[in-house]
Amino acid sequence: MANDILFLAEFTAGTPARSALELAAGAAELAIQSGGAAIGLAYGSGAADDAASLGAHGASRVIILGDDDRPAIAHAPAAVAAVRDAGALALLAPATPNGRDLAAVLVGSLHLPAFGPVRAARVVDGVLETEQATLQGSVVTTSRPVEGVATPSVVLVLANTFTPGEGGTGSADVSRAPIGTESAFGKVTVAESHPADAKVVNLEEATVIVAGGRGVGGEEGFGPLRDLAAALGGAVGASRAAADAGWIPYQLQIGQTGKVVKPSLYIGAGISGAIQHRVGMQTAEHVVAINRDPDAPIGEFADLFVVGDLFKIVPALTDEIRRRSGA
Amino acid sequence: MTYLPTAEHDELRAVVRELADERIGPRAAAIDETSEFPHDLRELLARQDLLGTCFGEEHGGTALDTIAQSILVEELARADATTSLIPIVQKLGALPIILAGSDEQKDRYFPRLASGEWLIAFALTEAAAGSDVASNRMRATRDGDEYVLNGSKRFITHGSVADVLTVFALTDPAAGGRKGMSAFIVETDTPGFAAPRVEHKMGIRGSPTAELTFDDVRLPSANVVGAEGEGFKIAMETLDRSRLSIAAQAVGIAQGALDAAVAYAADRQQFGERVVDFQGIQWMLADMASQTEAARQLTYAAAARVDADAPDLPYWTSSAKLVAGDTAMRVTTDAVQILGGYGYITEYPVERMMRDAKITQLYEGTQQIQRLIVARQLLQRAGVARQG
Amino acid sequence: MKIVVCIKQVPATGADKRYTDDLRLDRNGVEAIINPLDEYAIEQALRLLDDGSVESVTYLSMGPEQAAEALRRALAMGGDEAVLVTDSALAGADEWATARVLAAALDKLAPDVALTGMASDDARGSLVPGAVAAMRNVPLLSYGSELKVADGEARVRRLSATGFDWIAAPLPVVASVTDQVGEPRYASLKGIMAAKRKPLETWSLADLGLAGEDLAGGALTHVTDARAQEAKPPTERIENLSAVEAAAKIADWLAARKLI
Repeated sequence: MANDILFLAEFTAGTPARSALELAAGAAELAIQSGGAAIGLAYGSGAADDAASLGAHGASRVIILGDDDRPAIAHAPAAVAAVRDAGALALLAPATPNGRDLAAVLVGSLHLPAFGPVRAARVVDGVLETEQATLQGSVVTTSRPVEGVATPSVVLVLANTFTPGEGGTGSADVSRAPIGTESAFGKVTVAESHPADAKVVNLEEATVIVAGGRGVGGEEGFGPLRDLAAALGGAVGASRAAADAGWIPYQLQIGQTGKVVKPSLYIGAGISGAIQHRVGMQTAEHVVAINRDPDAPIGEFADLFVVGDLFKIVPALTDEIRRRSGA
Repeated sequence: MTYLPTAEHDELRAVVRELADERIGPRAAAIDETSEFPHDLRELLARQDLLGTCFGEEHGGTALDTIAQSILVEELARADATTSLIPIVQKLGALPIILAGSDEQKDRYFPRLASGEWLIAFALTEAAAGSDVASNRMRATRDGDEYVLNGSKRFITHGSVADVLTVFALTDPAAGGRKGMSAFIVETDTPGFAAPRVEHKMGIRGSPTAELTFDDVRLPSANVVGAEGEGFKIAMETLDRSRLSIAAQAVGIAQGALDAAVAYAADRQQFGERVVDFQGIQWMLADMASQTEAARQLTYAAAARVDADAPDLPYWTSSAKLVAGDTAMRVTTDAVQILGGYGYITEYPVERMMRDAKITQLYEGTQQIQRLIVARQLLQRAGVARQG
Repeated sequence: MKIVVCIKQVPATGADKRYTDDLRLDRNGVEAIINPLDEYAIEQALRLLDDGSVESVTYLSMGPEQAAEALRRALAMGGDEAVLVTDSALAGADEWATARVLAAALDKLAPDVALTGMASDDARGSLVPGAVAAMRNVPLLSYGSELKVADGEARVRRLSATGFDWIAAPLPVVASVTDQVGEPRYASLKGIMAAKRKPLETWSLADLGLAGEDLAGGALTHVTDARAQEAKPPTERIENLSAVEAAAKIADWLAARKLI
């Protein structure tokens, strides 16, 4: 229907991704504003098993695009057909590689307007409105679709933009998308799967991140940062310089070409604050930076800038936090 | 004769500058501190085809004109004087063969030199024969179909890392240095050759300056360059051209120091103002800049004349090396001055640049030798006969 | 086996601290360079050329005539030839039109792999590779940290949340790679000299069988407001304290915000 809000919901082994829950909540919010329904498009292994639970997070309906473990892009043709039939106002997609892939195919196949990655979205008088920070982060632009263009608008949404609800009692109606015609995207398969050790945390879902940069100086240098992260119950991240140098795996790289994170607390140690890194963490709620260089660019947008030797300050801070929490 | 840098020259400068800023400049301080030859940068330069610029395409080189070769050296020296010596010495060592070698010798050695697989060095100077080249004492005795070399050389740049050398030795001691010296190609894995020590120096610390010993080193007779007795002439013709590389190096060092001084002065505040806004500093910078530019333009003018094979080529190349070397010393000293106390500490690059600049007044012919050459050419032009 | 690498020319990032532009003759500023993220795609394609996985690398760009410079720079890094699609009707083309044009050009070039870099973070830019794949009905292998081509198949190594997968599809494909491919090579001197002699063709929309009207329609979205980011309170600074004192102050700050 014309004022429905669609959202992509990715499942793995029967469990919805955090983005699925966030977008369910977001779609529900927008659906109240637009007077329509929040409808999930679910895909991934075990999607059929648990799709109904999206109802507890705000969806009134869920359409299963496919519940095998093929890569997300393989479900693109089903997504195109479902979106074409739905005639909705907007579709929320996570600003992750999978979300972008599906969004791209929708845009290319159906010539849809695209927004984002956005940090806010709403429906005002029946019209979609989104907010996006520019690269430099100093200007926030508000955008809308041009009148009369095709619908739905595709909106890429950053992690932590919407907050998943506690989970109510609702259960969504689940239906299956019609089996699509053979398409090239169906030929994409996972040839090899290498899950890492469980210790690698998905930074996009972390609420506290302690990140290290060039100033950390080496793999061993991350030790104190790990301790601090542990004391705060958070995760360790890094700038691209540290990843390129091989001090930590690339999964932990925050920045323009890495992960975009939105924790409530970000502590950057030995990170200069180059624009490419800033883009990855500038929407963090509280930014603390520790750096030897009093002129480091990160000092300009941090909330708290501590000038000093991170190898002295970080352990001291870890001790202080442990002391205060009585540990 | 006029010359103007072309679009290709500009493009080459941009390419080398990017490489220098990203990969060479960041290594300069460490190279100076450890005095280690930067093998990694030698390989980088070789991969980028920057060690073959003086060789013909038939040998795998890129045959750049002399202005382009000067720009290459200049941009490297701006980032690090030590690294700029790698292409400088590659050319210096090869020039005797370029000028007087046989086609067979060129075919035998140039491909590996152009690719940078091999390094070549120039072994002329001896402990007792620096400016006074003719008093060289090393001997090359004919023995059947071979020459046997005995003696030692001193202050040979890259002597300990080169794969091959052009060596000057007396084949006819009785005839004296000017008439009795010959040039030879020596591969450094030949038995009897050794590089027993390298010098500890004021500057260009990463460039090994070696003492070389030759103890009954046997060479096939095909390894003589040109004819017996032509060695002195070949050496002089080589230096007439190679000294221009030093002029370019000096220009690069000066430019690097100037850039550092401007950047520092623009950032540093004293007495409530930027240092760069003080008139006294601006006057210093203006002198540094205009003198560097003058040295640069003289270097290019000389380069154009080298390519044109001008008959008064030494007048030009000596003038350029003289002016550029003295300019580099002045500009780097002023750069240290502008940085004040910070200019004296190793955290900033200008003290290294000042130490590096000094050598441009000393090697490939001291400034005093250059003055003699310029004076001789000047007096010839003026038709004033030489006395004695 | 042929790869086409799609690259974009962008203005050089502004003001470095370089005071030496006095050395250049009269350049009034904006130098154009290859979009830095595209350099990784070029590097990946050239590695496949070096190891014999593919036999030719072609560069494709859409832009004004000046974009030929970016193509020459790419050719200087390696590769065989380049194609520039340029047409006055393309001035101000939006990303959908760009995808349409690239798709048509790629259909004409018919490579085994059409490779792009990670586009800019901007939504529309980053969606171009996928849109091109959709328009051509060709599988998409995106966000690869490495690309391999063998036995009629392409695969990319894609980082997952916690590990990595190899995603595969039969040729032909559209693929995109990230900066994790590794440092792009510098153009060597011989490469620069050779690039001048490599073929660079220019195509217009007519050569692709497209007309301006096919692409018209303008932007689908528009900016309705732009405001400065909410003025943040000025950065608080802690300096010139001992580590222990600094740690205590930081902890106080965190506690005041209920972060610990």
